[in-house]
Amino acid sequence: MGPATNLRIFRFAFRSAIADWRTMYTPTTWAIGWLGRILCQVSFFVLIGRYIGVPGTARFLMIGNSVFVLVQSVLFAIFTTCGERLAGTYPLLICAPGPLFPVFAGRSAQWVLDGTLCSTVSVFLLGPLFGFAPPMPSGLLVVPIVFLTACSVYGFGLAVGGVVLRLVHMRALAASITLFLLMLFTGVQVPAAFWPAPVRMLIQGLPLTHGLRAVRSLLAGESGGHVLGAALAESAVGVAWFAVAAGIFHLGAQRARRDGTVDFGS
Amino acid sequence: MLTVVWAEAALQLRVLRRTPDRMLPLVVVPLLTAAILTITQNAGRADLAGTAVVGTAIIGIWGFAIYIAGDIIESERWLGTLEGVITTPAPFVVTLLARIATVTAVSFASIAESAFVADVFFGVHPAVHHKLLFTLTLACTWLAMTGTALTMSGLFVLTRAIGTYQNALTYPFYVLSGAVTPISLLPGWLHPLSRIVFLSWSADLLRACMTSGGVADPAKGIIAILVLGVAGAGFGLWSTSVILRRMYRLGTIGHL
Repeated sequence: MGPATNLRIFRFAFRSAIADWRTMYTPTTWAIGWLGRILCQVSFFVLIGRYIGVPGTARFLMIGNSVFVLVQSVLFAIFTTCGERLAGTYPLLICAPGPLFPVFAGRSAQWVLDGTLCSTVSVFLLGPLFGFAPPMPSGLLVVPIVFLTACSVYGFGLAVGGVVLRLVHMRALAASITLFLLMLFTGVQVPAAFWPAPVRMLIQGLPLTHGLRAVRSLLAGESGGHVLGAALAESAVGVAWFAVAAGIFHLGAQRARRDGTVDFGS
Repeated sequence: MLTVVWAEAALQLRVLRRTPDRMLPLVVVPLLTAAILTITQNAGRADLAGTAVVGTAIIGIWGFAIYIAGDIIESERWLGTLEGVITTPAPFVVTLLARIATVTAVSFASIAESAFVADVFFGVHPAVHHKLLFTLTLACTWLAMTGTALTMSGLFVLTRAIGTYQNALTYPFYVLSGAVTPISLLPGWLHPLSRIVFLSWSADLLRACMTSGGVADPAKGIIAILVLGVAGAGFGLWSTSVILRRMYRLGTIGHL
């Protein structure tokens, strides 16, 4: 199968993803129920920063959590991936002549857009409200960096989803633990320097680490070289995780065909 | 009646044991505690560890009640057992209350979880300076949480998008109730709204119990928790009976 076929499969899967998203939310339930909740989550951490009273803490938490909320959306990919198994459509996808990964890559891509939108609104709405307005017009570059970071986290989320596909009853647990690991270690709440050297080394391979660094550099008015370097590092991490995810789905399908566990998790 | 209560409590404990994924809110508590403690430690404010522990415990209690207790009627309907439960001689409201009270009691494990994380991973040992008031506040919080969860349980039956509403009832309430940060940090126009959330009184009292100084006007806080809890329970009982009557009338006990 060539790239054109893969792209066509991805496009159809993405259309299905958008339809799914529209079933899950109306514009009102999304804006009030989801976005409202997300903005409250960011405010929750900014208020902790203010309560602590150490200069710079509230701003650090504001930026970190505004970008982090994209993870909250993107990791829904774990649930939508497992949804194929729960809905009984996974065996059909295995039987289909087309490749499996483009289906799953498109099937949850709505969350990348959702996450990008949530983070962007948080930066540009809550930022000024808490007195941390992004510099303009350079601050607008936050949007592509956030999108890039969401894509990178998506690759990671797909890899986790591919593993959990065989353990669907663990999907909520896996999503929560993944979410909090990223929250703890990627520089969202505390700088990476807070952690011991081995942990600092490991988190270089996690998505969000470099994307968040790029956003922080941009909003701090650092040189374009710093921002670009961090953004490129985030892209590299994202590409690596997409490759890992593709491998996991491929091996999972091979194993399921071989041992006849297409429909059963064990 | 007491037999029914015990039987329902035992049933709910068995349900929780057999479906470990339902314990998810309690898995989240230690992770959130760690996240908040890293912030306080990094800022050199180890003195706020007690606040972090109490705050995340409150979040755990609320989250567990909203996710599990709020879901009880819907789960019964999904399993196709709601008709059976309603038509048994035991009053449905009693069975429901017993199960919700059990879930809420289990959610208090989040206090131990938060304290454990603070102790083992961060080496901080927040002390409770007013033990009696702390215990009394927790008991009142349990009653109020049970009443509030009863309301949710009834209302969630009316929607197919339970998850959306459960999600929406988390962080907005954590901010509004001042679970981790005092409500004095919120804009003034939000204060009256915060005060009708019983958790804001619970959080204030529990935080005050962690300080060595005196606790200002504890009776007012306790009364507020109880009054709001009773109001929540009253509304929950009323809304549940209205919803049940509607189900009887329309013949939609199994499907709304």
